[in-house]
Amino acid sequence: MDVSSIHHPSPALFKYYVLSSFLLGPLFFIPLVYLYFRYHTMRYDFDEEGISMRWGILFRREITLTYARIQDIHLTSNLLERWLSIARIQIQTASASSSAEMTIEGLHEFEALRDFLYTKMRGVRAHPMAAPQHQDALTAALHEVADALRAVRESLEKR
Amino acid sequence: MSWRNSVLHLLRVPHEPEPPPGSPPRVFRAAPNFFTLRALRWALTRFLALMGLVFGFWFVELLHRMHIPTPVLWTLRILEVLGWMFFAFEAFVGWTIVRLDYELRWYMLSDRAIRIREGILTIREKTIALANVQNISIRQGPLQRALGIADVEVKTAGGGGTSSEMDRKKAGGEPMHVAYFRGVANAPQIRDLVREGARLQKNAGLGDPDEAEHSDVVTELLREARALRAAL
Repeated sequence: MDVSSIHHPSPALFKYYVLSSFLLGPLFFIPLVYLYFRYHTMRYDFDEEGISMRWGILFRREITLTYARIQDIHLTSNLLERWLSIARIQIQTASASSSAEMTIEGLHEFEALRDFLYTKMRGVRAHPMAAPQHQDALTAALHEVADALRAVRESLEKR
Repeated sequence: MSWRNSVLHLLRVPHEPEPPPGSPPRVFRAAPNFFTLRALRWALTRFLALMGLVFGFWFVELLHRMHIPTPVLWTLRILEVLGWMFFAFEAFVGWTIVRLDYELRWYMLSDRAIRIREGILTIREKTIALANVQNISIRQGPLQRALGIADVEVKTAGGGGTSSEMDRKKAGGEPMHVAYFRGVANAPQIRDLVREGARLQKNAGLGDPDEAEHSDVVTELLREARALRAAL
């Protein structure tokens, strides 16, 4: 899946926002105004290093996090979201906040996106089987230094 | 079981979760006694609600004898009937959910990650890489001990929220950095498997020291340097 093409949430998210505000009864317009602008200003950007997400019109909010710092990924969906075939991907870093660091909502391809994030996140990416390459490079460099030293000593001994 | 299937379809409950990254997972289930415990809890709360309804009935009959105006009495009776109907409906739905919640939970453990799927109305699927596991604990209350089950808690770094389980339940949220294997009969085995899995990860936890990978080369370097100094 090409995640870099994801920028906007799906229209199903707006339906979800409308339905969930109507659950509040007569006061539905209070969250609805906020959610209307939230839906229309929500942008996702997935690049090589991480994700950034922003929304808001009066009070703007932008969250950026790097894939390598992701610690756990939770997938949550309530009944309404499942009827609209969307889900929330809650992304955690090792921060001390009680809520999720970033919640990616309103995407139909949530499972594919979650699996993509897994391949990038901390602990899964740096798996022992896929040993980091700089480690090998460092070992090789140290070997070379040892060889050079040996060569110097040998030429000194010959003199 | 078409009733069950139609409920699952109505609630759009997805099938078994996909396995977590890593080797094919071992799947653990909640023990049958977990269902017993949940059923007991269901029965107790329904019993308390029933007591409330019976008390209401008795109270209305008492008012009846005290010559209360008829419209007030009839309003109370209608409310009472609605209460009974709601009770019956809620008890039935509650029972279905208790049953399905027990059947539809998966605790998967691969060599790299844990994936836990639970819930019926709100479905939560948590995945935690074993490399990020900070600590594991087992909780068991007196009733759970009598039934031979326990909860295994797997925590990752970071915290937040309130400290006690009670406060969290009041707040109505699941803690974000914890995954639970709820109501398992083989808690010590799961704990050992998770610990073993976490130990095998190269960079487990935060702040673990790097392993000495180049000690051979460094020793060789030192030997060469000493020999060089001696040769001068």
